[in-house]
Amino acid sequence: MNEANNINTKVLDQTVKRLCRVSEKNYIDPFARLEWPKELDRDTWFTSPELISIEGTPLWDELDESQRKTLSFYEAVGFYSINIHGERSLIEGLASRLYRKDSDGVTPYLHHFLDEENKHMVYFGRFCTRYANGPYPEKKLVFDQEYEKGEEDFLFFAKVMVFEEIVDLFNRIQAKDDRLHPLAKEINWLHHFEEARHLSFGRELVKVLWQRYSSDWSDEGLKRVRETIGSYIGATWREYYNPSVYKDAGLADPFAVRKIALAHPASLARRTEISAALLKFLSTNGIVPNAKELPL
Amino acid sequence: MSESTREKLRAFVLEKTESAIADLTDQTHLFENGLLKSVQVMDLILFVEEISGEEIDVEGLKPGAFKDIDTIIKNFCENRGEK
Repeated sequence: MNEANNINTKVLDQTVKRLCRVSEKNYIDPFARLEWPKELDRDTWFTSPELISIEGTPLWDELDESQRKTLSFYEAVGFYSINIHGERSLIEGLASRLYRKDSDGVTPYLHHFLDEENKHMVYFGRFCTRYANGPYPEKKLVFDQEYEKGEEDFLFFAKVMVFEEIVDLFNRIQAKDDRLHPLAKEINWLHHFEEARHLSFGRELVKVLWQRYSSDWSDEGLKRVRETIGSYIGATWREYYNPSVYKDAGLADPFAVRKIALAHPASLARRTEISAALLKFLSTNGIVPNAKELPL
Repeated sequence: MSESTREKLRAFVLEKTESAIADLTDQTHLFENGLLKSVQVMDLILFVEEISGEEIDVEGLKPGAFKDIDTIIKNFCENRGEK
């Protein structure tokens, strides 16, 4: 990013250069990297049991191991679907910011960001279409909104950061989980390997955009931005409780399952633990001072 | 039956909104008037799927499809006998 309004972009500029070098050095061919068996052995785990949305609730206790493994497969399809839809929106937003006057400093890395997000969609999409009935559909709509200067850019990258911080915790845990099917484990590892760079870039860019624009926003605009981030974190988490996943896994009354799972203290504790670093970042940088009090 | 669906939708809006509602009618604009936030549209879609018993194909839909309770009933519940 250009230096403007006395905002120090040195760390961001250095980050962009470093991440570009690492991306070029670690270039991955998504079509050659993974082995895709014709059929999957389904008598295994595809999601770490501790990350399954109903784990810790009475609903989980009612399932035998075979049912839990079946649910772990559809939870993986649900997780990959969340990634596909999130990354599709991300790619649209990144592409529209290439070579813009106010983002020329980060454009070199946006090329890698776009390339790597597209690769991730290849992994996730191929798994969902080859072994399930395709990705679960996204239940979102795009609303028109008026923004103050810099607000749209800031919210775009802040939402990207929220989405990726949560996803990456799942990836980091599952990339090391030997109970997982090798393909599921490898997909999580590959995603984390590149997402770690995106997170590093995102945190620096969000800080710079916040410092550059937020002091000029009206009280109403500032309130709206903070509420939007808070609401987005909650909405992002609610996507992980998908009635279609529960239905495909054979659970009775999938909508009731969603409500029970969302409300249970065990799943709230999981959301709180996974969100902790993100909320600390938002609070420490003054973006959402009361982030730790946000409803998850 | 139809009254029940409307009642359920009103109850959903009243439960989810953070705005003070003086008078919620079936013509009140849910998102335009700020009763629901854009990030809550997923919860609304899932709720309509639950009470209508049918999955909603979101591709190609515009936010106007969920403008108010009358519009939601017309778009997603009438083929279930709701009016």
